Amino acid sequence: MPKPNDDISFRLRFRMDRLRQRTWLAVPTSIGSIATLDLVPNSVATRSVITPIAYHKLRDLELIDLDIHDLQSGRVTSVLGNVSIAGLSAPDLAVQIRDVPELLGSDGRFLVDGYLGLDYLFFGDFGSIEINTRTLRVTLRPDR
Amino acid sequence: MMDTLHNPAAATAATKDGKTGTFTIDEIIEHYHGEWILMRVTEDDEDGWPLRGYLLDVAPTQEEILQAWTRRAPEVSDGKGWPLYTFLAEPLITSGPEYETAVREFFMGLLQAGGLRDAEAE
Repeated sequence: MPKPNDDISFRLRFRMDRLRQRTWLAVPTSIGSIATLDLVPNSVATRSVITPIAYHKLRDLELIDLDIHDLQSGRVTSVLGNVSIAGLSAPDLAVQIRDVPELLGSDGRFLVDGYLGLDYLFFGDFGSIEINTRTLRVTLRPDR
Repeated sequence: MMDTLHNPAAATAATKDGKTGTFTIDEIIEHYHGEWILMRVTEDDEDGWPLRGYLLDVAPTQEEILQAWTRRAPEVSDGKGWPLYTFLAEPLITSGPEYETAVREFFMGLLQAGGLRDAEAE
């Protein structure tokens, strides 16, 4: 059984919309062991985001414990617990819920569920990220 | 086993009574290319991606497959730990110009992020 501070290793997978206008690399992410989401490692976004569609999927499975409404911005933030990446236990994930035009395919569908921002991958609990540039295998190493 | 793969309704019914087998993602993509898929994942591959599972529904639109997700959501409380997963059945791409471009953009972003982190540390 992996411990929360074990290294997390996985391969990024390529996602592309049918008309080949958009491409993304995705991380295999599981919430509560009952929902699998494709999340893009977004190396230029400060915060993590899931789409309203992904939010509804999680809500259907009763995986949304707490919503925080920001009255000024009108945005909703949720904290997702029991997160796994590539089947390994990962820290809780705070996400904003909003449409992400950058993730839309050419016909208006979301082919991925959102993105992991720098707050999670870079400035959060992971002190080291190792990427094999040939295989796209990523190893996230938590602070110990 | 392949009979139910050609017939989602049969697959759904068979899944309910446990008489069907599971299918790999590759099998599903081959048979339902371009369709939206809802499945319960029973096995991941060594890279952490869904590999195999029960085919629950097939639909031409994302909206319809999300309706199926809502309908089937109560089933995951059976304690088996098989997550629901939706995806568009398209062959995996592991090379080519689009792939190279996406990888390049990802690494360029990482370099920028590294700069941000260094700045924050100073």
